[in-house]
Amino acid sequence: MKLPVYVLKRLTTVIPMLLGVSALVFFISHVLPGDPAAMIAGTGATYEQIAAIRIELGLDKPLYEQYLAYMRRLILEFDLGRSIYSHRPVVSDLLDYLPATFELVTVSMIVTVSVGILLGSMSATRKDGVVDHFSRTLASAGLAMPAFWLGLLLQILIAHRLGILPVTGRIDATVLMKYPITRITGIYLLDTLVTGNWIAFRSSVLHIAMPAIVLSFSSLSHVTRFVRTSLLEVLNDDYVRALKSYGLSERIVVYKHALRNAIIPTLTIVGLRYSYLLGGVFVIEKVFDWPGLGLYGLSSFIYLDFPSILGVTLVFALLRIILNLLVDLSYFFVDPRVRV
Amino acid sequence: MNTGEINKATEDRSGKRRATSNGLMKSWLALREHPLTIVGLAIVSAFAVVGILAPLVIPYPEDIGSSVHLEQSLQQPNQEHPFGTDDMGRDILSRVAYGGRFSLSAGLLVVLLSSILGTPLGAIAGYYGGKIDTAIMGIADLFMGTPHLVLALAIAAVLGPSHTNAAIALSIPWWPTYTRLVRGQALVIRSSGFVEAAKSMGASGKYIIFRHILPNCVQLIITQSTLQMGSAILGIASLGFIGMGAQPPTPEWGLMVSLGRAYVTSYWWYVTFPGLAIFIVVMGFNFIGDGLRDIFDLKLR
Amino acid sequence: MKDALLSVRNLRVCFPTTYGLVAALDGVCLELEKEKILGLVGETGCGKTLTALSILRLLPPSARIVAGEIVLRKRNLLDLSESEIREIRGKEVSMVFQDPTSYLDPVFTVGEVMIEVLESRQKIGRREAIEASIEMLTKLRLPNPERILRLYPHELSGGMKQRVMIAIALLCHPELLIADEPTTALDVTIQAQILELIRDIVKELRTSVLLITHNLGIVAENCEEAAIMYAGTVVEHGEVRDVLEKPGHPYTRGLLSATPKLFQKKETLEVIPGSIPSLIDPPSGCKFHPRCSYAIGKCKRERPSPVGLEHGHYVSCFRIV
Repeated sequence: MKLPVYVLKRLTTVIPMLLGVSALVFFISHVLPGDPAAMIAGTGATYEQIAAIRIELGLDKPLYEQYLAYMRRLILEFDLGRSIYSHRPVVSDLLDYLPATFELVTVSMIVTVSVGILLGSMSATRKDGVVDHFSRTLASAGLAMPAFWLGLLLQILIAHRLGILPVTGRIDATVLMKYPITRITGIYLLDTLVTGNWIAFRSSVLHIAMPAIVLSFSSLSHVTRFVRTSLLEVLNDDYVRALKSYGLSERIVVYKHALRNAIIPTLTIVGLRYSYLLGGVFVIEKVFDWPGLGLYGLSSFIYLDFPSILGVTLVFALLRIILNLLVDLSYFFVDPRVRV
Repeated sequence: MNTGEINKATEDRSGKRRATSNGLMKSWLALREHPLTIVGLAIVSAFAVVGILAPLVIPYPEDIGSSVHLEQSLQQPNQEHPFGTDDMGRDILSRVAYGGRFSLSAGLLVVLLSSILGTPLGAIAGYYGGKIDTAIMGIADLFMGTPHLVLALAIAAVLGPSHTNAAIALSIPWWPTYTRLVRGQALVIRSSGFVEAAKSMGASGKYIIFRHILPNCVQLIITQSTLQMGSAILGIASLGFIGMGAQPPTPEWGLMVSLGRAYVTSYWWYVTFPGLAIFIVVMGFNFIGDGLRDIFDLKLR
Repeated sequence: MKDALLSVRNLRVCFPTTYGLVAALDGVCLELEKEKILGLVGETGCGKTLTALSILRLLPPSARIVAGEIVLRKRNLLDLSESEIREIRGKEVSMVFQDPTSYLDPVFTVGEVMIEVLESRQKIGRREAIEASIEMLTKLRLPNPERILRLYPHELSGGMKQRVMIAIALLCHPELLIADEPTTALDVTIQAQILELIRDIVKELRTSVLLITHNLGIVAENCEEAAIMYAGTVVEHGEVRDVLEKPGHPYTRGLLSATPKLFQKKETLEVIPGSIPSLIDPPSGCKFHPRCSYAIGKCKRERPSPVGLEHGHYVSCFRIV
């Protein structure tokens, strides 16, 4: 089938998913014990104050009415309510912080996929060799390592002790002042690249290096392992023998043909890992003071800023769905059998 | 793999688990070929034992709570305090050792809750199929559609930050994993024809599920749970680090790392040792889980 | 033999197993003349494919070539280094495999593979490669070859896939083509077509063929010479007419009488008693003796060497009938 048809087919699952997720989050947050109004009012609030807050938030109406009102505002006006904490529309807050997180997650994914394929294929072709043992150990470690701990350790070692990379933040404050970034997409790496702002670009790259590597570490483990297994299996496939019989070099057979086939199932893993990547964002952004949705989300969770909480959860669900869709689409380009 | 189990179960007319006891023997032999698994078991047991016996074993039992010895604060690792002391002067070794309780018990809670929630749903979905299956899997897909930590955070926020609440919050996004697993098994068993035989003898759905489907899932569930323990402990620690889990002065590992962050530039031990504990315990569980996966698969081939 | 293109002498290939080293090929001897088609016949498991893979050194990694020589125009292929044998593959010796579906890379088009082979093996440019590919596809009587170049394997039928495989194997005009059961996976109606096609092309390109099959009928129709394999050895070897009409080895006789013939008036098919020997614990002396109605004491103790019956017809048996 053609690409547009494929995309449309995939998109039809997105809407029900979003509706479902929003309903889920909405009901869970309202069904669980705990009185948001009381918590917002704080200790020592009078009954009247709590009641007033409850009315202000519309919490006195029946649940389904609340939900319908919420969904109506969302779909018709793109209004996710107003943050109790910042008093700004939640949508504005989300849009402000989204690019930073998107940038971080994307760079992490690029690191994961490229390093994973590299290490995985080297492990498979030189099975039980030095690289193989090294990457398998690394992979095992990656699966057990708490991300925040790894981040802190790297900060100590690389930033504080060695001073190679900056400790926190997205960009050097002085650089930002002297070479301001024109905001096109909000993604620093892109915006600086496009406008030729090399100093700011360099600073952005240095700043994103550690957070991206730490975020990608556990997914890296999964992908490396998987590429290794997948490639080992593919190398046993019949067509590999046929290709060898034509006298094609080892390099072409393994890296052009076998690897290409081995990557196809790896895409599934990559898609699955996006979910974990998005979750890991909260922790990483806190450790590195990265001003993204994670950091924003954390404050809304801590302050029980319900409109924000709902908004953040929805955005993350949406991000995950979109990223999964992209992975799905890549199947289309990589595996010709899907195009039937 | 399932046909073998099913055949064993059907051949055994007395209905007793004779097959299982043979299985245990084989498992022990298989274990010996997986040294890493034994290492994992050793690690986990060590932490468990230390955690349980903690109040009796640790050098400074009073430091678990909110005691303050400011004159000793932030000491480098030395003979009296092998892991150093924190900003309140508390012995970090004692706190880390005691903290094992929290992490292990919370991990166990998460795994138990999500498996108890997810397994029956999976069996029901797989066995009855049709609309029930679609409904259950649809809801499962919804839960899987949101990044787990995000959902857990939202729930933990609403429940109020505490160690137990964090565990409960984490188990909720995870039940679909078990559901999928068990459902797959149930589907295989259902299509094996064995179910029809049982039904023709008057067995009810509940009976079939409890007596035949679920027992065949035990190995799967155990392996998955072990692997999940690692992730659960990491998740609990993450919630603790963020501030949504255990609260001070609880010596929970994630929380300790979070507190140590302020001193990370000059006092590296505060952050390093609790994190190291998390790392080692999770590695231990991963070793066990990997070994179990190998062992069960090998046997069943 | 004087005009031999390929000469396999006493090839022994072993596999390590938990029971020790097991000989899958136990002294295989073959001679293939230039521009001739030799049929290598035997039951499943007798080692036909292994022999073929040994020639190209494409054996599974656990296999060990323990003894023997494979001489291609005066060069022992077993002495060659990895890069030297790689030079030979595709250019001097090429192979067509049994099941075209699993032997074609699913993520590349036919054209991409063919062009790649031509560019890297013949060192020609892309345009020439495309022309050469179309030419070869046309020789294989594939309609609309330009279109086929752009197709993926899953878009082709079984017969077309096999023709493509043959085309790729013949791209560099090898002197020897090894066809391992090329039609076994295809419909009966297409089988004859493909075999006739192979016959015609190899005549035109002056290629020799080692045709591996378990089907005596195919040998009778397509081959000029035949070699019968049993349990890792060649037991009879000669021109097709001689071998099929005047079989010297009891196994060959058994095979022939077990094959149902048109207009035959028998009620039951003849069967060779017993079964193929286990590789782990092979029979002593002549491998066939446990099933042989002509066996004598000597057959149990010694292995028979090839004995010449008539010109070019060799049988490995002490009791040539």
